[in-house]
Formats: sequence, C-alpha cells, structure tokens
Amino acid sequence: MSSGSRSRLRRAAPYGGVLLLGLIAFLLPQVSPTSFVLSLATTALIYAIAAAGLGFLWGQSGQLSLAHAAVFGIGAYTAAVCAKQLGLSFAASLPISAGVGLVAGALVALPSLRTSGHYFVILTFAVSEVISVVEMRWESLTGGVNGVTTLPGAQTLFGLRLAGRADYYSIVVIFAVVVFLVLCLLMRSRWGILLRSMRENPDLSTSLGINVPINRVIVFALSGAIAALAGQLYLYHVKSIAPEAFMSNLSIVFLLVVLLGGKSYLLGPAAGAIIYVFLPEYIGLSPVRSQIAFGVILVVMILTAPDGVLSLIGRLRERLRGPRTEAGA
Amino acid sequence: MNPLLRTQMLTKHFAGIRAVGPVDFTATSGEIVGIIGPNGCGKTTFFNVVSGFMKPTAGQVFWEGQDIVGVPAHRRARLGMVRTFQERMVFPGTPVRENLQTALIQYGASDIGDEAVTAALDYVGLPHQVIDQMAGHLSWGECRLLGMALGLVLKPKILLLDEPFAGLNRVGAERVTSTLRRLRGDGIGAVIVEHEMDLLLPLCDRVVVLANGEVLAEGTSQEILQREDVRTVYFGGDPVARDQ
Repeated sequence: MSSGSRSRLRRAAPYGGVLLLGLIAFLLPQVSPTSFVLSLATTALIYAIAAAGLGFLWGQSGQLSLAHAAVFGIGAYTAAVCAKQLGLSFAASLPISAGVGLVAGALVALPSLRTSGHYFVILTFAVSEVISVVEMRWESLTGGVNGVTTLPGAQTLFGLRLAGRADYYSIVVIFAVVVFLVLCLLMRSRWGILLRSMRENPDLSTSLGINVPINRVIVFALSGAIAALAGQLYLYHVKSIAPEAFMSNLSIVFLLVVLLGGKSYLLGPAAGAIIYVFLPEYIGLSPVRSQIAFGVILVVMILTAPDGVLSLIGRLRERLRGPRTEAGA
Repeated sequence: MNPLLRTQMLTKHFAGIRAVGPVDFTATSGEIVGIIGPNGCGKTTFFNVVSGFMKPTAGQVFWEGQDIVGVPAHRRARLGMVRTFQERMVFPGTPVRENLQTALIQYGASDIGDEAVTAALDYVGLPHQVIDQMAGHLSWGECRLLGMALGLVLKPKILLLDEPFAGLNRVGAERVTSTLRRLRGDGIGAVIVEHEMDLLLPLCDRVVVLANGEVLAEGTSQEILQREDVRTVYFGGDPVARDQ
C-alpha cells in the first residue's frame, strides 16, 4: 500500500469507526429487544451526545463548564414549550432547541471574556444555579417545580415512530452518529488545531493572532447547541421533565462521563455514558450505592488512568508491542 | 527610514508604582535592537505593553505610523508584530507538527502538510525527527527554537523575542544566533530582551538600556559598552576597575 493511500486510510479511520459503532448500536434492538435494555441504551446515547458536547469543550479547548446540565435542560424545556404551547412537531422543534442552546452556551461563555481558570468554572456553576431557579419560578413557561409532560403522539421521523421504544432508540442512534461525525470533522479541522493550541497555551495562541475570547464563545455555543439537542431527545425519551433533573449534579454526572471515557478521545463520552448507565443496572446497585461506587471509580481513574478508559486500550497496545528498541539495534 | 514600531512616552504603573516609562523607542524592519537592563527594570513589562498583553497607563504605541494602543494583542500579531515568551514558548500537549500547523493556519497557508512544517523546522535548524514528538517532551533549547519557528512562520515584520538565549547550551545558542542573522537577511526586524550580553551585543544594530523603567542609554553595542553609567547600573561599576 502506498504511503498516500495509507495516510488517506488513517484519516478516514475515525469516521469509519463512528459509522461502524453506529451500525452496531443500530442493530441492538435485533439482538436484545427488551424494553428495559432499549430504555437504558437510549438514556446512555442521550448522555453520550450531551457529554460529547462537554467533552469537545473540555478536551479540545480546555474550557470546563458546570452549566452544561442547565443548557441541556434549556433544550428540554424549549422542546416542551414548542410542543405544548406552539404545537410544533419534534422535527420543527429541533432547530429551535439547538438554536436556543447555542445562544445559552454563548451567554454562559461571556464571563470567560473577563475571567478564566477556576474562577470561570465557579461562575458557570453560579449560572447553572440561576437557570435552575428560573426554571422553578417561571411557572407559566416551565410548569414550575411540577415540570411539564409531553407525549409525542403519532409523530414520525425518518419513517420511525417517536412513541415506539425501538424506533425512538433508532432515532437517537442516528442523532448520536451525526453528532459524533460532526465533532470528528471539527476535531480534525483547522479550527480543531487552533482550539487545541488555545487549550495548551492561550497567551501563545494570542501572540500568533488567534482571537482566543471569540473562539471560546463559539466553542461554548456549539457545545450548548449539542447539549440542547440532547435535552430535546431526553424530553421525548422520558416524556416528563422537572427542574431538579437539570441541576448542577447532572453537570457533575456529565463531567464524570467525560472523565470515565477520556476527554481527549472523540468516543470517550460514549464509552463513559455506557459505563455510567449500564454498570449500576447490571451489578444491581441502588442509586446511593451507585453514587458511592462512581465516587470510588473516579478517584481510582484519576490516579491510575486520568485520560479515561479509552487510554487503557492504547496502553495495552503498547504493552503488547513490547519495549521499544533503538533503530538499527 | 520611518520606524515600523514606535513608542512615545509609554508608561506602565502597577498599583501606583512605575514599572516602565516614560519610554520613547523605535524599531524598524531588518534591524536587530537589543533591550538590556538589570532584573526588574521593566523589560518584559515593556514587551507586554508593546505587544498588547497589557494596557499602558499612559503614552502611545505606533505601528507604521498608526496609534495601536486600543488594538488587541491578537490583531497586533496579524499586523506583523509577533512576540515570543520567556517560559511558555510552545503548545506542550500537542505534537511539534500541530504546533507549527497552528502558526501556518494563522499565516493563511493553504498547505499545512509535512512539507510546510519541515520547512519551518529547517529555518531554525531543528531536526525533522521531532515532528511527531509532543512539544512538551522537547529539550529546553529545542523548545526555544520551536517557539521562534512559530513566530517566524507568520512572516512577521518585527519579532519581539523575550530572552531567546536563556538556559541554552552552546549549540542551542549558536542555532538561535544563526537564526537571528538569517532573520535580518530576510528583512525581518527583531527586538530582543536579553541578559546574555556576550551573545546579544554582537548581533545588535542598536542597544537600548533600561534602568528603573526608563531609557538610560541608547546606541551601538560599542557605544553602550563604553558608557560608565551603563556599567554602573548593569555591572555595579566598571568590572575592570572593580577587579583591580
């Protein structure tokens, strides 16, 4: 094989990987059609999409947000308002939810124009709390503490029924594949290179002419749009939402999901979400024990594999390859 | 020749304490200007203010005759005034290839492939083998050279170098020196803040001495070395007389 075709193959591999995993996920209803498994898998995929937005933000641009769950919630509430008060279909609500998430993400990023590091993370936490209070108090729009209920009715998308468990799972798989392909494209683009430079050394990036604050706002906006899209998918999955579902502890869950999988890896959030959703169910842990278990797992991961479980595959591959020898030795 | 970069009464205070100024300074393309002075005399602060990383308390910075005090740092870089840093010179967690690709993208290069990257490595004398290495794994000297390469890829009109010889061994220092000579040949100006007099002075067309934030002296390297007041401030007196 020539070096040109090898390089083209290497470039195409991540896209092929996403499509292959998408195909495997798509076939799940054929292998394990139980409602329980499909419901868990749908939740895992929705978390994977939301966490992918956070993973891109954190892993690529080095920005951490504790308001991600709040933006996820904004997406869910926007979709609920579109459905209940405006009578819009799932498909018609999608661009609106994503657009509102985009704006919300950009607004969350605005303090980053004046501050950075730990202070900025604390500010995103404060923003998240404010959004939660608004969701609780703005009863005419959000239903207050009781939340809202939305039933998809007889709607279809891509010829699939939103109300059907297996069909809705397939819809979520399609969205997950599209989101991961888009993020893959962005990570490997020129913009992706500039984002990583900002993550590594913002001052040097500035000295090379990169407008760091504007790029931060853009990447936050993108991450917000993805979170809001996941929020809409979540609403149509659980059909009923309330403000306490989107408080900052969910942001911590997304953070955990990203850390578990590996923030530098495209598929890290997907791996993390699958572990987070399936592990407690299959070991049979209660919610409280599950929280304790993930606390312990997080500590162990940070100490032994801070780059997430996907980094273990690379380590294993290196170990199997054996110690490196000097050329010619 | 009209100066590319000019400062007029440039002043920077921190909490009421004057760190720099008032400083009148000029630099032009193809010229190497050294800025020397004892520790804490305001050299790096002067760089920070000129390059837009800090706002001046008073005074102006002119670029090709235009006042650029309100122009943010990233836009100054796009105008052709690129700076390097003393410590954090590279993007440590990405490969050398991606470091240079960042600069190539900012330059607007259509080709950011390995050919363009190795050409940048050649310019500063870095071996091609480092291309896949994480920049954070390079030696200090290689980081310095990569930092210079990042700035040079942008084809600046003036490069502001903050202590380019600091911590380098003889081989590294020679590479930096030859890169700087090449730079002058290519019509690129350089303003260099440095402590290593032996390495800096032979390179400079002009030297500016800062003391307590102000310009104490300005002239050729020979003129500066002969100034009694410079020797007093910089070396604590005439080193020859002191030794006797």
